[in-house]
Amino acid sequence: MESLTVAPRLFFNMKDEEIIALLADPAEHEKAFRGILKAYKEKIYYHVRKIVIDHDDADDVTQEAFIKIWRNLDKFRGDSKLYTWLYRIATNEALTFLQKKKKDRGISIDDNEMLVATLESSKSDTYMGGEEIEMKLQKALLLLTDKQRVVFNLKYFEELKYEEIAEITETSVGGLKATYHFAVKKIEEFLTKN
Amino acid sequence: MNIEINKIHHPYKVPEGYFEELEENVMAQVHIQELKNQEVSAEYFEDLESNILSQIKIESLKKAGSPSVEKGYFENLEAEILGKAKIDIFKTKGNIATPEGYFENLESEILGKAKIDIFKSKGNLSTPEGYFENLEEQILAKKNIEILKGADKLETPEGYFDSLENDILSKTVEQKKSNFTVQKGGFKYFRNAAAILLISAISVLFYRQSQPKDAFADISNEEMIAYLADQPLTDTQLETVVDETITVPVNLEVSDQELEQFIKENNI
Repeated sequence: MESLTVAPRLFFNMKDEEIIALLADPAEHEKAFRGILKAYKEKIYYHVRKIVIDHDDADDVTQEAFIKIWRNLDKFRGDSKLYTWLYRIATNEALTFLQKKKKDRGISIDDNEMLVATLESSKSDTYMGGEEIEMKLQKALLLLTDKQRVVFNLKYFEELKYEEIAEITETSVGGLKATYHFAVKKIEEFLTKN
Repeated sequence: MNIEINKIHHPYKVPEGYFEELEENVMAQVHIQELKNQEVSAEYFEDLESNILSQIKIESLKKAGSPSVEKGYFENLEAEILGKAKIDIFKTKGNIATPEGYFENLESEILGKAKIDIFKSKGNLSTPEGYFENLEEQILAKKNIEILKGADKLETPEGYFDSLENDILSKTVEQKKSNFTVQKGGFKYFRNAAAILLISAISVLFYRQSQPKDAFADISNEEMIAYLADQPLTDTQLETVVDETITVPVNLEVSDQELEQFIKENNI
């Protein structure tokens, strides 16, 4: 990989097509990376945050995800959409982080009690909104498995198509549909009861 | 409740300015990663071994703690260094020349310095009580003894002492005889003359036993008598000077009867 040069800071978000064009030239990789960082930093952060819940964890995972993106720029072939490629890397990074965290604490992969406790304790801090229904929705989401949550988040909050989610999660569209419907039903039951 | 119709947002927020910092942080991380991935120079491995060994030595010294030295090490250090420096100079110079007569005086100089060192180390020297009171007298006595000993080697003409007695008597007693009148109470002068005569006799005896030499040939009898009379010799010194076999009467007092008898016997 080419060493970094000082590329000018971007003041406007580049379109995905522009970034992909830059990626074709290794000498333009830094500029392409800066374009990716500027356009997707918030989206990637919030996608990670919804998975790991805690802000500091989300900060660490987001930075790691972007570094991984930088290292693998030359592996982007352009046969998939740029944002699905970025989301895949970020999703894998977040899920790997959670698995490791649960393993370190001796918690089952499907057990989200740890994340519920984090969410409850975050109610009063400045990194969390005050809407009760928003918190209830997040609490209901923690009844799902991590992979189910990812599918729900990408569909519900990011409003991606099943095909795009299939690319990100590397699963079939049919399976995603069933997962999403199961998740919605479970969340609605929780919100109705609570 | 239908969440797809009644859209609910997520509650997550970030600190103000967080995303600007995130961009900078990510770029910093990327630069660090790049530096780590950069190839090392060829010189790096050449210096690597020595660098590692140096680090190991430094670590060993740190573990060993503060180095310690023997007691008094620093007190002698300066002298030792100077000594070694002198030896080095000596070695580098090779043949070293000394001033003329250097080694002749070297022993006495060293002994002198050693004495000074002893003096310094001893501090206040003490002398026996009354040492300085008798010192001058002892020195003068030794000086006189040396002079008298030196006189032993003086030589006189052959037969000098055989005629000396008659010469002295003829110049003293016989001259007196011509106008000698015995006066009662006038023995004072007579007694002094007798004492001088007696001393002269003792001297003659002394010089006879010490093998007279010709060195006295030039000295007249009068000068010798005058010399002996003028010498401030104490009785002790006279005892030392005169041969031990000769007893010198401490008290030279002569009674009047003895003197009259001596004059009659000698037809004076």
